[in-house]
Amino acid sequence: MEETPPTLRVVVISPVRIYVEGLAHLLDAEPGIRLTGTAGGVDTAMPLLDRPDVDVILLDMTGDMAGERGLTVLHRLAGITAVPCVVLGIPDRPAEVIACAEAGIAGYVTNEHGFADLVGTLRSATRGEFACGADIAAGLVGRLALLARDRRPAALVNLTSRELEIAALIESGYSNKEIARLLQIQLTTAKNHVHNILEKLGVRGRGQVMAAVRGRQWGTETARPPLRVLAESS
Amino acid sequence: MGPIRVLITHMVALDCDIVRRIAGERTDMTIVGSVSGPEEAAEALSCPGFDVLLLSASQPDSLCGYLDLMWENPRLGVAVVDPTDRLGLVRVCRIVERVRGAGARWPEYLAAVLRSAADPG
Repeated sequence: MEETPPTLRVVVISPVRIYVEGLAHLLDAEPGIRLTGTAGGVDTAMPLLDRPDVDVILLDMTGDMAGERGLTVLHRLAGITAVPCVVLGIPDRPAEVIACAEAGIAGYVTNEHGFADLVGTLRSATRGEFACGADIAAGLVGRLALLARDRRPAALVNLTSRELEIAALIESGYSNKEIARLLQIQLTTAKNHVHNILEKLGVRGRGQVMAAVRGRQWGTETARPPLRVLAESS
Repeated sequence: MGPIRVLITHMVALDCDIVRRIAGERTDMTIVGSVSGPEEAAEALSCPGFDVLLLSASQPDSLCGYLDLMWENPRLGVAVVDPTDRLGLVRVCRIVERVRGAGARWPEYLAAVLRSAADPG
């Protein structure tokens, strides 16, 4: 027997009546959905957002919201509540969706989506799923990679995947012997890898490798060429 | 008299779905379809036929394309929803042929029509 999904409790925030009254009316009439309340803007929504019976917020981003526009409203809302927020009316373009994703949306629908799509997105947002097209997904992955690259210490980029693996083990406090055993390699091979890591990072000991991996110390220092460091140490 | 037949035009999918569902809850009206421009609306006038054209517009120039249709079909009512309007007021447009009093002498008829046109109520 098919399991009935739990009732979804929704708050609709929109400055225009077609959504705050028309759409909200339809949502309330939809089986499995209960309208917790509506508001014309984030400020007037505050009493609703404090309530425990809210599973998801539907935020209209098609127009002005008491003088505030789009992302400003979204950022402010994200600072107020952790309730998943689905936005309505943004263009289905990677740049716009990514900007909203960075502001913390849990889902989105464009004006070209129908009511059934909207209901589906509200449901999927509460399940922790982000429904989107392949181009949007590709854009999000690309953005993630860009952010990860920016955060990764530069010197670690020069390490091979095996060296990165060993650097991570060093950071976890493993000795050369333990690393050899864990990776099922000869001790001399492990030592060679560690030597190469020290050389590439331009550091003198395991403690500095740990710091490099943690990205604390070497984000700026590794800009120095390893050879220079070696010259200083000689 | 059958239900009021409404044709939707110039409306994004979500808004169209909203008004379609709201109208669907009423027994005295029915949405006969949705089109994307004046040409399609003109075609729909003969089949399936409609009494009211429901248009989504935030600017008056969106209405221009439908003036020919309204001129040719003065019984046609055009309701305009502005999806960005906070108050959600719906505007209604119609070409009115003032038949009442047309049998009077034309100067009197014209004066009566002008008085009528000046009265927004």
